[in-house]
Amino acid sequence: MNDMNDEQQTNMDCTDVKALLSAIIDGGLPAPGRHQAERHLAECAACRTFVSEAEHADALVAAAVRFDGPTDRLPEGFEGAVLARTVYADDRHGAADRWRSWLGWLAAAAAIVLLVVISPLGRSTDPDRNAGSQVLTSTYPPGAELGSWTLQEAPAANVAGVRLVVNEIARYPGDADTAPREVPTVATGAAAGTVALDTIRGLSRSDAETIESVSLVLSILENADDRSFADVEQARRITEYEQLLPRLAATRSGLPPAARPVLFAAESMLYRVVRGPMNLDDLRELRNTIVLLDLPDQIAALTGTRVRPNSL
Amino acid sequence: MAQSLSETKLREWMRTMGPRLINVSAAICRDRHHAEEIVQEAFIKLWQRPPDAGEVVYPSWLRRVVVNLSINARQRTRRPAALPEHSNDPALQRGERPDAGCQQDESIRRVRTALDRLNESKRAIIVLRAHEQLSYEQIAEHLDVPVGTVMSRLNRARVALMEELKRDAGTDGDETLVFDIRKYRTA
Repeated sequence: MNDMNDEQQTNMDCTDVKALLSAIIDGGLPAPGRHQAERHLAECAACRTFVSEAEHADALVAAAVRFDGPTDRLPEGFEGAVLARTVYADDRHGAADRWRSWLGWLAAAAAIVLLVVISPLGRSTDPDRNAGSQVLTSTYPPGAELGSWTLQEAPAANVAGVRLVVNEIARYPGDADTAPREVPTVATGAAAGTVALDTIRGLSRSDAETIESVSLVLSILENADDRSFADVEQARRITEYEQLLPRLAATRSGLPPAARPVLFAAESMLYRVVRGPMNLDDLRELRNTIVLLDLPDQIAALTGTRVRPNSL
Repeated sequence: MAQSLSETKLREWMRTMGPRLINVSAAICRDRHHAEEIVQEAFIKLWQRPPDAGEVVYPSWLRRVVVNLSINARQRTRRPAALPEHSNDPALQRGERPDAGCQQDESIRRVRTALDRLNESKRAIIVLRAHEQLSYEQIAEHLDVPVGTVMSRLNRARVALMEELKRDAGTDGDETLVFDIRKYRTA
């Protein structure tokens, strides 16, 4: 009987080796089976090659997996796409809830603001300073004043864009005293297409570089792909890395008054990107506003050059 | 009670685990764009309902979700397997990887071709063992099957892979496969 078992053991064939391939490679074969396998492999060159190649194939599979793509960074747009459906989506819902809870309050506030706006007393105080909050809280009644310009005069197609930029500027915390005063100028000029900025003579090199960088970032946003946040992320990184917001604020304060509003508008757009969070609707809104106001070219006009993203 | 995830943590986990998970998913479903969507889906699930056991289990939890989505996604779509020879990643196209020069390597091409011919389940188990270097017990946990089933499935998958490699070598004039893994290891 024992002889028969020994005979069977020594007669492990190529099919048995295949059946035990994983156990042989991974070292999980118990002693009796391992000895049988070793004996067969010692005699069978084909099986030796087969097992050896199978061992190497594991390593090669691992290499092929690693080789198929980068192991140290995510594809462009990946992070933004996830954030848009998680963090930013939650923010959006949260904002919607907050909005609903304040709706009643806003309705009352809108009525009060409207009353102030249309009353001679309200105008006589300082209508410009109220311009931002007017637009945020009122329902844009035809004829409502925004400084020296009335909404009624704006081309219909541009009203939405003007509203957007005014909203963004009104939210921008920088230069709280000057923002409302400059809002109507920017909005009016852009909407009516009458903002024509001349190249500033004697612009310092650093100011010109700042303006060109801002124009570049706005170009990126102007052409942003609204299927992902890759472009917004790029714009945000450049803005933060180049410290464009403080640089632009410093540059703006030293420029002629006529040039300041458009730069202020640009600042508010960049701030929107840096501030976050943004969902895809926000991105589209921001992009459309930049396009509508033609901000990259408006700003670039100050330096007499235009730097486009593809020149990077 | 599952703890919620902060944006910073989510970003960290995406950057830490994302690239590897995409590669694993692409190896199983053989479609890189699909793999990216699958891994995005896994992170969205993590955000919505992180595992109760906390961050220590995130890696295995994410891998398990990705592997199962990768297997099932291909079974649902039934699209022809097609992983591009060259990734669409711009960085790869610019040849930034240290091993980019090996893209034409015959051994890699053959393994890819052989993997393409296997089904998703076989690819998944081979990738979990060969690339992720999981134990049989861990693979069993990932695929939600007994350890014995893992052993038999892994064996079948390896044999099938070897037969496909052999078949490919046969069509190319019985060349001996060259397995020099050192060439493919990143520095």
